[in-house]
Amino acid sequence: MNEGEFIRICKEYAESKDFTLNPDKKFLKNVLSGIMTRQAAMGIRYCPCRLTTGDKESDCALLCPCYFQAQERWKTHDMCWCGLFVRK
Amino acid sequence: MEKYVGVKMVEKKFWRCTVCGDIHYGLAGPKLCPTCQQENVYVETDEEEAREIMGI
Repeated sequence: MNEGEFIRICKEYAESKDFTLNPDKKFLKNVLSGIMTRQAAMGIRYCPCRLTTGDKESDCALLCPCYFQAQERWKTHDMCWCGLFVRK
Repeated sequence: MEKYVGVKMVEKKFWRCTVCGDIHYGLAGPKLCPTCQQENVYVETDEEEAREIMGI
């Protein structure tokens, strides 16, 4: 999947929810670059800011977009772990 | 019901539950995940990721 397609999916996922893609374009570009790099290296879009364990089942929780609403960072900083999504 | 008869395969997509990794193939992600029972947690994904998750 290319970056444009991934952005489209993220925007649609965020639609009608209480979050959106990070409006900081430069920051967003860096995060997206990390996600795409992860995809190129591992064949799948893991969060660029977290370490995988090697266990596919548990690493499933690290796929981007993840369920960041359960993370403490979402509650305290209004953003997902890597900053791809921020609260509206 | 009739409007879904003959839905082309090209219109269907893969969807992943962001909570538990459940994979769905259809026009849209389910509102309620049948595995973890969370609502509105599906995100569109591609076949490659779906296959990777399913291990096939």
